[in-house]
Amino acid sequence: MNKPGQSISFSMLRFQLIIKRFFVLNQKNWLIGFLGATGLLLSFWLLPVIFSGSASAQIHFQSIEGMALFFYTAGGLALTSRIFFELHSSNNAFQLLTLPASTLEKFSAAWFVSSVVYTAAAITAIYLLSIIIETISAIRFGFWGNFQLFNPFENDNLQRYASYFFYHSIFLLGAIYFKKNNFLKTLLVIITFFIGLFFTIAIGGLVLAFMMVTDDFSFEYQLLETAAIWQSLLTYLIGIFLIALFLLFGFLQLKNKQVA
Amino acid sequence: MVSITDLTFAFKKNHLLFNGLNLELQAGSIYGLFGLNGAGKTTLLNHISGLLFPKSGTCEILGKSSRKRDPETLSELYVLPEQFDLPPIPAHSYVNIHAPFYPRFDEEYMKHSLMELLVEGDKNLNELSYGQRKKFLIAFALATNARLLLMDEPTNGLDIPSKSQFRKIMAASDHSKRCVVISTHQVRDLEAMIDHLTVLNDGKIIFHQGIDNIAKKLSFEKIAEDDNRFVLYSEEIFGGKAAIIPKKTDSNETQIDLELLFNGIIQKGDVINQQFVREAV
Amino acid sequence: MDFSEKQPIYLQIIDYFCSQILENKWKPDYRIPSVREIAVKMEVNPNTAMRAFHYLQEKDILYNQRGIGYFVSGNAYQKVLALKRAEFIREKLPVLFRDMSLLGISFDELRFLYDKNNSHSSGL
Repeated sequence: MNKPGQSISFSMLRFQLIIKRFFVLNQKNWLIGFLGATGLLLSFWLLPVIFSGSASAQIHFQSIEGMALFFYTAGGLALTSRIFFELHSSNNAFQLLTLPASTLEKFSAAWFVSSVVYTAAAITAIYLLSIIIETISAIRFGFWGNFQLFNPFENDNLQRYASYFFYHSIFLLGAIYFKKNNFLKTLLVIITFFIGLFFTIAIGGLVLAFMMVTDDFSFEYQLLETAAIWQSLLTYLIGIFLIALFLLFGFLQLKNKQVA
Repeated sequence: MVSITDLTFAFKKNHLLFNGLNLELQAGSIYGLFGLNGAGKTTLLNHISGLLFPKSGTCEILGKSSRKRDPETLSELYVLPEQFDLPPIPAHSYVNIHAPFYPRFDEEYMKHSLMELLVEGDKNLNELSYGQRKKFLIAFALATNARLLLMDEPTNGLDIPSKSQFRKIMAASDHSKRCVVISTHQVRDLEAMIDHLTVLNDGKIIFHQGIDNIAKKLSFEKIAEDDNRFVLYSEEIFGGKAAIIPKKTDSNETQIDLELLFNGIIQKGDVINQQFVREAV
Repeated sequence: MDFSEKQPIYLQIIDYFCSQILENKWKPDYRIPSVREIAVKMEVNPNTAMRAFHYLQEKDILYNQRGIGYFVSGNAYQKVLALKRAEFIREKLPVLFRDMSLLGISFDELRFLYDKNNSHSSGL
């Protein structure tokens, strides 16, 4: 029998080895994805330049920044959905499940690669892309004094990373939970959830409105004002709590994963 | 090495595949796990390796529950399934990323085996033929020096020279500290490789004996139709019967006919097991 | 008729060793192939091969130098000869006698055939 008080083993070396393994096994797909996204971005930037070369407003990196960040999110979630691809085929599952490392090491390595490492790589890539694009346009149009580089630390961008980390934890759970089409299924679950939430709020709001028709609203206004100060903090706290929850579910799913 | 107690398992409700299965496996042996199709040989191996969890009962490797998937336990275990895919990377990359997980991995042996088995090293593993992939993974399995090696139908799909190569590499490696379990229904392929015969039938291990012991207790003879000696099990063959007879202590040992013995165990397991119980009492 | 059974593998290995010694191919202090080499050649479990080595070591036909290997003993030839003679008389002769009586071959006829065979082989 196993002692209940066994310490959870975590080896940094094995953690690194698993990360290396993820890279080697996925190198081709990741490279194709990266090159594809870069190519698309460049062509979206180039098309307006080619077709209306005089419209100088179109040629800055900023014209494609939104799209680059969308690619960052979508690409990352797609990558996350596939990171446990081995688990779902009986011909492959043994290679990951009997790999001599703890479930915690495997799970945290997958999380680390698809969130932290991926985000850092994507930001660097977008930054480099902005340098390239701005340099090209400077050469082409001579606007040397007007470099509009990508600023990774802009507030909007920071929020985008935060929301990526949030959705990422759901997709990581989906990557383990679903057997096939993990990306689409997870997406479907999230959409269904939001539709459900919308209806609940709408119906709840209607009911509340009916109930409060005769009441006076001052109490609610007061509440909103106080909440406004705490709103963002609370959002983050709830977000972190939910991330932790999804990650815990994901970890438990992986721990109890069996072959078919 | 492996200790299974009162294992129950069912894929479907109301149909127990294993029903109170017990099994002890020791280091230094090569166990042949035999069973009819659908007896659950693969499922049993999956329980040992922790890929499946028992419904009740325990399954331990080196004293630790295999469902825990403890890294130290896993580093002493290598599983070679019957069907498997390998990633689109060359052999040396595969070895590079997996070998460091096994503390006693033998690089030299790996290199040597790949050359000997003529596995094309420059090709991506997923492009190799089934036989080549299998030989690659067998070589890797032995190179890990894991103490428990589970092989599911290792000779299935190998051509005749490759089967011989497989037996040669198994014969060449030192199994004194290792426990090897080979599940197969191709008895003839591995007859001379195994030193224990383990038979799985009706959700239980119905026979579990060392080859040495079998040779001491049972005699495998071709007898005449009218031979009236006490026969444990027999099959009609040309010109007489192939029979399993209790061996007299002073008579010479005969070569074990595993196929005959397997059929005998499936059909008259009690009578045959009786021969082994007697001395123990 | 002859109902002789197939020999266990370890006995086949022993037979092979004995015939090498009887034919003087393996002389005293000759280092014989290792357990591993024999196991690989025969494609058998090393333990099976080991059994043959142990058996012959017990009979003083082989001796073991730790870490180096197995060697043919000084009086291996005599030992094997005695062993094989006993085995021949115990196992092969009864079969021969039975077949002779079944087929009506007399002892004189056997002697004639034996001499003929010997003169042939010595003439070669």
